[in-house]
Amino acid sequence: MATTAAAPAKRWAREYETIYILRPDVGNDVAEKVVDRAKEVIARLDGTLTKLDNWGRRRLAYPIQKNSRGLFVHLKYVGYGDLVAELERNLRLLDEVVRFQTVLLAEDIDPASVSVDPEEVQYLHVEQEEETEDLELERARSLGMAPRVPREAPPEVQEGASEGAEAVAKAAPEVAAEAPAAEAAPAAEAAPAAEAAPAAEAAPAAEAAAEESTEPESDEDKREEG
Amino acid sequence: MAEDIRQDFDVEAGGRRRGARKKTPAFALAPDFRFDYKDPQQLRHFITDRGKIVPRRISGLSAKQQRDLTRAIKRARNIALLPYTATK
Repeated sequence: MATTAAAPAKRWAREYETIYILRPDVGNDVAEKVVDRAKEVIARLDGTLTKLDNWGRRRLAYPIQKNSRGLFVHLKYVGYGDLVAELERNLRLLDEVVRFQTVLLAEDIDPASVSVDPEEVQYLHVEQEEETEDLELERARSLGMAPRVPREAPPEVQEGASEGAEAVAKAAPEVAAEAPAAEAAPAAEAAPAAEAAPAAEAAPAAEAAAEESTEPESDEDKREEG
Repeated sequence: MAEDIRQDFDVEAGGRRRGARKKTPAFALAPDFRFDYKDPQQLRHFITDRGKIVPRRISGLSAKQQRDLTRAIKRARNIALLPYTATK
């Protein structure tokens, strides 16, 4: 910022935002240490932190390093290109950070015009709230029926047979979905089978039914136009 | 305004023998609407149960909107707010 005003031409800054995800088991002190490090990097490279937001522990759409949840932190800052590289290098060095992503928000920002609301850059700890739905999913995962771990699901499907066809359908291997038979099977036949048959058979059948009922639009459209 | 557009889509859909209608959620038609990768709930309207991006002929978006949508969905996927694939 103003400290490098000695630069010959005016340096136009850019606005970026970075989201990083920490392992869910990190404590508040570690989370704070990561934030402090990010702040330090931004300050060292003449950037200005404009917003700091803790989203708390959220469910990930897919497991990362076997974690199904993660602590999301959202940073917004104004700085130069080298700042992003340095910040990302630092995030990469930290084992607690499992994923990060930086997005360019705006170009050609006058660094002098950036104003910061001090409340916006306060790091707040978010208390972990456990929703019941999450607990159910967690349980499903422990039984090997979770939708997001298809590779491990098949051998354990039998165990969870009593949980009903719907849960089994989620655990069904992706292979079943990809099979041409699954797509060809008429929904009318597949659906009752899914409810009545034991788990091992119900899994592919239910998958077929799901395939038919969830994506008929695109399939039919393809036939129509092809 | 939004209602008129809906009707236009229906007219177009009438020409189709079967399959999906174009129906854009009303919020996406607002003039100042922007897709935001940080808002997965909104983007979920535009992915299938399997996690695929809904094509333009079904989403009914403009080319520019669809590009922005695709970009937003891909960013959201990268940061684990949306799935790359889903088994359902």
